Amino acid sequence: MEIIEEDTWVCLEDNRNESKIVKVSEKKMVGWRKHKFDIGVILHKQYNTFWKIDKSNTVVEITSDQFYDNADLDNQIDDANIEITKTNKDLFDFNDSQKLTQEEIIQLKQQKEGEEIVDEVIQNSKTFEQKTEFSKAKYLKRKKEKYVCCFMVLKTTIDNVHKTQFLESPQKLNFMRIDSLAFFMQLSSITQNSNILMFDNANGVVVSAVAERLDGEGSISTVFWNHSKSNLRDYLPIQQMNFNEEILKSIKLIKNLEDIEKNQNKYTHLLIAGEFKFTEIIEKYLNLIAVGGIIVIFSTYLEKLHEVAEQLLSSGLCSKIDVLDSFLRYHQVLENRTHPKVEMNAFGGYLLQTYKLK
Amino acid sequence: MIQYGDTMILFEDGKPKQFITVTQGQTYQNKYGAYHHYTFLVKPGEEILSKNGTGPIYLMTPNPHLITETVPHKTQILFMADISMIILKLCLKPGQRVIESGTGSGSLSCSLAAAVGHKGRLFTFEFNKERANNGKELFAKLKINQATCFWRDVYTNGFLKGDDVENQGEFPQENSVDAIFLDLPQPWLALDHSKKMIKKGGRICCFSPCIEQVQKTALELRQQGWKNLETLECLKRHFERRVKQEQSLFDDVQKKVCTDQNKRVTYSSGINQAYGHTGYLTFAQYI
Repeated sequence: MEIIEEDTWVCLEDNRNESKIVKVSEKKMVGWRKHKFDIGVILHKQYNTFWKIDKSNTVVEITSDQFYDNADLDNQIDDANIEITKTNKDLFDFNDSQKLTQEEIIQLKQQKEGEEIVDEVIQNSKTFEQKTEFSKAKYLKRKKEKYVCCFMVLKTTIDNVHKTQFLESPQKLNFMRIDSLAFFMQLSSITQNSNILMFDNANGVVVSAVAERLDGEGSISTVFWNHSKSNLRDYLPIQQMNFNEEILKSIKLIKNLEDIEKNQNKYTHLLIAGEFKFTEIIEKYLNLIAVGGIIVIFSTYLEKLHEVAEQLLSSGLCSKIDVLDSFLRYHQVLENRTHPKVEMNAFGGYLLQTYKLK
Repeated sequence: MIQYGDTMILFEDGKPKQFITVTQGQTYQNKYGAYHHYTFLVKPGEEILSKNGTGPIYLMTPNPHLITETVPHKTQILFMADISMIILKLCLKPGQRVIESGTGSGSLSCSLAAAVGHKGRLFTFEFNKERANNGKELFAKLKINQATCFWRDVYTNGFLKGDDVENQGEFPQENSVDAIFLDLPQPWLALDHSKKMIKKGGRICCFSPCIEQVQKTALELRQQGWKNLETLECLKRHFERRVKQEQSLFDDVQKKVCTDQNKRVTYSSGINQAYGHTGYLTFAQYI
């Protein structure tokens, strides 16, 4: 069993399906969901464990049952026993269904645990008993998400690193949705001994994904947007992945653009993630890419990719150029209640892929 | 440099067409004429002309994406969009051990093997003997040494060696694999076996085309205590460039006189033929 070591980054995923990535060390205070707590408690404990923040803001371990009692609530209705006799025919919104006042609830928060507050709120709801089982469950879900704060501790993966970054600010990643990142990786087909020239303007997420796949057996010459001032330490995702020395060594940070041309071997991949002046990069560095090399570009703008496609075609070095985007939809799968999720992210960016031929 | 015995992917008319094993003394024939295999001994991606000096073809090093586009369809295969999501959401890393069932045409197998790299292992199970042999041949041909293909019905026999004498090679051990992928008509029948193999914290993915299958799978996953269920579908959409000469409403069409403004403009457009549905991917984690 793997143990959480000092100074490792871990991913906390809570009962709202939100996540936060933190570095664990002794007596380290973390602020999350209006709580401030000492995350050092989980040090030297196992991954995939469950924790709760109690009323005194202390982190205590709970069982997985206790956690899923407050998360994944959709699944807690026993479909077989549902009476459909109740309807919302007699429910009216007079905004007086909750007997507790706001002050009383604030007071409760200081005295009681999250679950107890939820019970209290339900008891004081005039309409709760009249609700159908489905809307009871929905109500309970909302209240538990609001008053109970529990989380599980996961290892950081490129999936949850991307998720936290994307939720925080999608524009920093140029709106590169998770499936676009997945496509980017698959289209670039990284193998061991790849010698990659990479331009990253997506806050280091793509570099992390590429470095993880390369596993230290090759090199990634990375140019960040503000290359002269860039430092690997400034890119959180690269740190959050807990890379070993070997992998970190494979990421060669390029501060001076002239260094790109100094590489003795030709590059096997030209990967561009995020906004740059693509035509300028292609014009200057296409000759440094080996014949048979792979070119993948991600952009928020379709027109920019077509501009590059035209440039590549007229260079006569590429024949088949794919420009694509992707569609991703999540589904709720429950007995008698299966349907696509209501919330959807409708835009994930565009990708271009081609091979350099001669 | 390409050498005799290498299996490469042949690009014809700019598109990947087929696998080709470069063999001494052989020729390849297409509509442009004949190509001697000795002319193939160049760098991957270099232009090769036929004896008539026409029809450039290219030989490319096989990579997971190209393999998916080239592999002969013995069965319905998994495509790039689903493969990408499977690899990312299963959190595959070099050095990990992964189980797949069934092998099918081997399109996903090659991508899984590439994701776990030469330090990792792929155990792939197929219940159709011909396809299992085809899988073995494919791995041998493409020199994917980290993958082993077994001929077996996993519903009844699971993934452990047991008293199997039919299959050669290293079998996976209990509680030792990081990820499992099931592309079976009834994935819920293989979940018991999967639970035995998966490490704590490991992930599973089930691919099913029908929502009824997904519901049954999700129910069984929950009953068995798998957590963090997530069902999704992912499709790709292509775009093309079209160069259009815009006609002005005020032009004299009869005389075909164009004004200065009617220059050629490049537009991007979608392509109306696409896959509307391949299958649902259901992910879960064993905690």
